[in-house]
Amino acid sequence: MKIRLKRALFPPKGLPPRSCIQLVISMIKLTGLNKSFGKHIALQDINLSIHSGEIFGIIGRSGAGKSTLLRCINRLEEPDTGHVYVDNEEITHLKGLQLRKTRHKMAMIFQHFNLLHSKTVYDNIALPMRIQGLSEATIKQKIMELLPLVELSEKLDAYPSELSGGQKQRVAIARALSTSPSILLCDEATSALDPETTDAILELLKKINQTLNLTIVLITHEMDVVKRICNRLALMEHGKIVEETPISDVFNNKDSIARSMLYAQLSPELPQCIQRNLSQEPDDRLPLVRIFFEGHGATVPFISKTSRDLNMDINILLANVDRFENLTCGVLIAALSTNGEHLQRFIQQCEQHNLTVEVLGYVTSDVI
Amino acid sequence: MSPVMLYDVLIATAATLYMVIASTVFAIAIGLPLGTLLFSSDKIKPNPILNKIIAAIINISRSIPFIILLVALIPFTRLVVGSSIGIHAAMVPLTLGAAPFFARLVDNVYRSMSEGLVEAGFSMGASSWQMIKHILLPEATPQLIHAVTVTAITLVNYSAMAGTVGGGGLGDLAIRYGYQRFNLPVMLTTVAILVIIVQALQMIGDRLAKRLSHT
Repeated sequence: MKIRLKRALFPPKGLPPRSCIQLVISMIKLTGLNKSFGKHIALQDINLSIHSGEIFGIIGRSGAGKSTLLRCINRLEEPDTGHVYVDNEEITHLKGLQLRKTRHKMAMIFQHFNLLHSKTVYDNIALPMRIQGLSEATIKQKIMELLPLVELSEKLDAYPSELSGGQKQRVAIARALSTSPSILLCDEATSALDPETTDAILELLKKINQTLNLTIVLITHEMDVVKRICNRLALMEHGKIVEETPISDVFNNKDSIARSMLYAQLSPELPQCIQRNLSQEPDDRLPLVRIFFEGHGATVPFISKTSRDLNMDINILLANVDRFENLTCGVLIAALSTNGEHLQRFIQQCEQHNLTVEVLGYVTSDVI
Repeated sequence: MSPVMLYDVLIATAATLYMVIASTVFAIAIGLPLGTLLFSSDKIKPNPILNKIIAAIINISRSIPFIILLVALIPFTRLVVGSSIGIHAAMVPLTLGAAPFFARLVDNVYRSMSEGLVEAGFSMGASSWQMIKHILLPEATPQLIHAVTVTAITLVNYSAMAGTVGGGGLGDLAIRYGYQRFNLPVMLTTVAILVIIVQALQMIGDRLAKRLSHT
């Protein structure tokens, strides 16, 4: 196994020393992957390394190639060129029994669950174990172990049609875990679920990542999913990885697309009555600004201080706060009481405090 | 209708049922593996050459009108059964006529299943045989029963044609007494019995499929 221990212990000059020693073991490595379907290029020169025990999120719009990328990892899709390494073993050209044995080390869950409707929960969970030829006694023992983890103890003899979407995904997760894989591939696993069920399934994924030290690769089009459970993310556009970053670093990089996506997701919608009356012409109207803040860029002292300094009223209309890993960040939308030169000075103040500010438009005072 | 006539009708009914049931069983025995192979050579373990050969066999045999197949197969029937007339002789063309039809239905049943199931099977590292045994067959069972029902009903139809070349059964009776001798009661009776047989087959098939379906 390739362990970057040396670098972790003795960081080269120029790199900040790490506060704690991290062992980074590569679980999945993709180099130079290309894949096209006829004229459509699905993957373009993909290079990616996914560490053992992390939750790695691949985010992108539909058609960005993330689904193809995920399927290259267990070779459900064959890359045209490039190499796939799993656990430091090249699997790009494996065939037959060897490929099947490699697939036994990985498991996959799907957007539409892909459970067998003709079989009970028990038999569905047992399926991969039967495929691997385990004895019925072992299978039973393993299922009994798994049931409390996925909270399905009472549904053992139910058929999938009798279950809710969340329960179906729990069965699929139990089925995936039954053969003790080291990698779990999640294909839009929460996209067909309602928000509360999504929360519960994400919690479950986080739990199994921690308790079983399972490497999880998930693809999604929702920033919310990535932000909630991933350690690192890759952003895909038109078959390319355009950004790859640890979640905790997203905010340090002003040019990060992931950062703007996080903000967009965080930013509350303006109420209809304000939206309708929003004008781009200042005239005698009041400016409406959106301010993003993060970490120690604590806003409330900033707002009250700026209000005093510039002798203006700052009327907070909407605000939202969230936490990513250990970083608090938020957004607020406020109306300022004065215009023109004061607005310019306000923007300067924001920039001095490292806050991202944007003027949404101007509204008449009777609207707010 | 005279008691002798009634006796003939009963015998013919039994002969038709025997022909239909036996040739359905044989058609399944040939058609299920053939249809499964047709699907798996396309979607599970792609083998374009094998796939095209099987598709060609099925298409060619399905395009031959049954009445022609009946006559064309006479030398083969004689080879297998030892005679070209009688109820057992009729079962040879019936089986060979229905098997490719059933194979095509089987292929269609698999195709109507979610592709995700096959994908899930692959992701678990299933072999082709495991895919068929653990995923395709159990998941397709209710639909396969519908396909068997359709095939059996088609065979009721075919068996009437087989009657014309000495196959026996209700079709034979209807033609000899009803058509050639203008015996209207016999004709109507045979038609009524055929209607009942078809209805019964459909009902049994539907009930069985429903019982096995968990969706």
